Amino acid sequence: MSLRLKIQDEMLEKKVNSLISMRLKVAFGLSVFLLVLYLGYAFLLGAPDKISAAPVSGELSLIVMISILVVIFGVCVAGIYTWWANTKLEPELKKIREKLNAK
Amino acid sequence: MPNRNLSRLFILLLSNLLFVTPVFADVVSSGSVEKQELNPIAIGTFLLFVLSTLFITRWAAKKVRSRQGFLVAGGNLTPFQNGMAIAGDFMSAATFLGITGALYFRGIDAYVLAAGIMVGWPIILMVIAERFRNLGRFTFIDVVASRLDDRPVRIMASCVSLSIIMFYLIAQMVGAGTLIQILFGLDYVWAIMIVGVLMVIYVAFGGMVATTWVQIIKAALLLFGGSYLAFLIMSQVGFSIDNLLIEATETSKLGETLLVPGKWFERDFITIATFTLTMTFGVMGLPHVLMRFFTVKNAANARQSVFYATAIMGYFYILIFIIGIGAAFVFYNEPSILDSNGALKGGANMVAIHLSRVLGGDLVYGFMAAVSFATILAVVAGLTLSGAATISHDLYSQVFKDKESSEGMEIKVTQFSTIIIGVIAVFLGFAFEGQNVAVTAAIALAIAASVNFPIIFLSLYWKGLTTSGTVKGGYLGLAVCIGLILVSPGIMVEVLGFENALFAYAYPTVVAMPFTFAALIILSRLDKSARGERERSNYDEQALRSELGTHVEEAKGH
Repeated sequence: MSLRLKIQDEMLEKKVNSLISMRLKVAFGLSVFLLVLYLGYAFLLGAPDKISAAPVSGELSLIVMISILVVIFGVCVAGIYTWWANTKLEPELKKIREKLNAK
Repeated sequence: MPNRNLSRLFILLLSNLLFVTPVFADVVSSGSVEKQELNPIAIGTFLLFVLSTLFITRWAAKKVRSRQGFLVAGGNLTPFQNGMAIAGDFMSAATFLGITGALYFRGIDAYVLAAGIMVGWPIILMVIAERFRNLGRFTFIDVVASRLDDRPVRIMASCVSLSIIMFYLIAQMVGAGTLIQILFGLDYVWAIMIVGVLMVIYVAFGGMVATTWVQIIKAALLLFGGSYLAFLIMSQVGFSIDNLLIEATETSKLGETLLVPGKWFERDFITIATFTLTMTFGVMGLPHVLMRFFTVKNAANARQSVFYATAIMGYFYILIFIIGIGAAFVFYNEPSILDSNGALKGGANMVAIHLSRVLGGDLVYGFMAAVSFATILAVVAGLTLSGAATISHDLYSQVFKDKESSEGMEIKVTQFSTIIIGVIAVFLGFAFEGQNVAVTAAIALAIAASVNFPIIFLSLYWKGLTTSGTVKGGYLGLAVCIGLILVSPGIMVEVLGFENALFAYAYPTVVAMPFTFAALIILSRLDKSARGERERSNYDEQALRSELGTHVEEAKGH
């Protein structure tokens, strides 16, 4: 998903567009990762026993493992994105906001 | 078509979206719910909860002075408070009682209910939350209308929003009354009255602050109770997941198939697809949940809120897995939970409650019953506030008064709307007592996924969306969604008695969501008006604002 936003300051415009583009890449990339995992989970719900009930470790079958992994990955993805956005992205956005407000 | 069927159809349509889980609906729908003996521990614990939340409401009422304070807690909630409240919205009675019951009776298929939400939330965080926080003020409709023509868009979105809220609310009331009969031994009439009166008090006097604290307290109690039950179960299997799975499959009536898919969806890919789409994208379109993004200061706090909420829900859903699966061996050779016919007393949704009695005795049983009641109360309070905000802010202030109403008047209209919604909810709760609500298969979530989500997503990310496309596409999407529900097996077969349904699936999302997307896009593209052109050209400014949040502060006062 690309976005080209116009700001009067050319340098600032470049910076804003690059930051937004990076955020969208990260956000949509991680979303696609989760959706693919979820798709795999949904596929297993409809798959024959030899696939869905295949043992992974001890008594743990593939479907049980993926069920739990979807939950754990959901939390991990939310954590990674929040950490990245609040520590890496937000300070840059803050600088841009200050520059824009100063103009 | 017999009149009786028509009236049942009408009732079902109104009460259709009860709880997220059909299993939960099974229980609350059973007309033969037996009223239990009065449960003093449950009532005592619940009274403690009510007293503490009323005290908080009094404190909140003194604190709340402005419209922003009333509707979105002044944007002053901390990320953790907001995260707990968001998680609380999803740790409902349907989740706690419904998913545990579904896991026990239908095996691993039921976990899709938890998995769908756990995929939906991180996507909300990354795709919706910060743009929402930066653009919105009080309701999600503010965001949708931000570059479109206010009036028609607000009227359409309010119709969709209020439909979802009313479906949810009516169903919760019917469910509350029935469930409380089982849990507390209270009469249905009293249960409905208590829920109705308390939700009006919380919302009308304490606004978002009180509603949030009710949700936080309830979430904390539910986490505590759930953790304790899971701990007791795991202690019986030496804290080994392997042992838990072995014991469960050896003792479950489903046997090995407890942990093999197919017991619920019968491995039908379209059924699975429509269910997963509803669960995942439905959470992205629920008005009372989306409203919570405006209760924190900025986008960074909104992100943190969603992360906390996701982490809390993730932990809770792991507990649910242990409780639902572990119930199999806890109930093995436990005749006290069965009625004279050998069925589980109270029905499928009583698994977690019976489990608390078997594992922890009357004290834990009473506590969990009270928490379940508190859960319903917290959810209906959130729904009521969201509905009242839509009426006062989107319809009264922005449409009927053309943005000319005072803050004080908007608060009064919100309070008045709350009372009206409360009275209607109680009335409908009485009217639908004992009705079969077995078709209550998440219509609210289906509408949220099929209509609200496409509108929200395109308004945030597609330049081409215009007022004409949004309004026409929104109404068309709603009509198709409801139309498909009308011809689904839940209505045609179970209510009207036809042999087959025209639409073979219980949830319309697999068709209705792509249809709404297509309608919004095609109708917007066909819009060649000057207004449409202006709206397209305003997109860049909106996108910049939504990413940078440059106008958040000034937008607050609008």
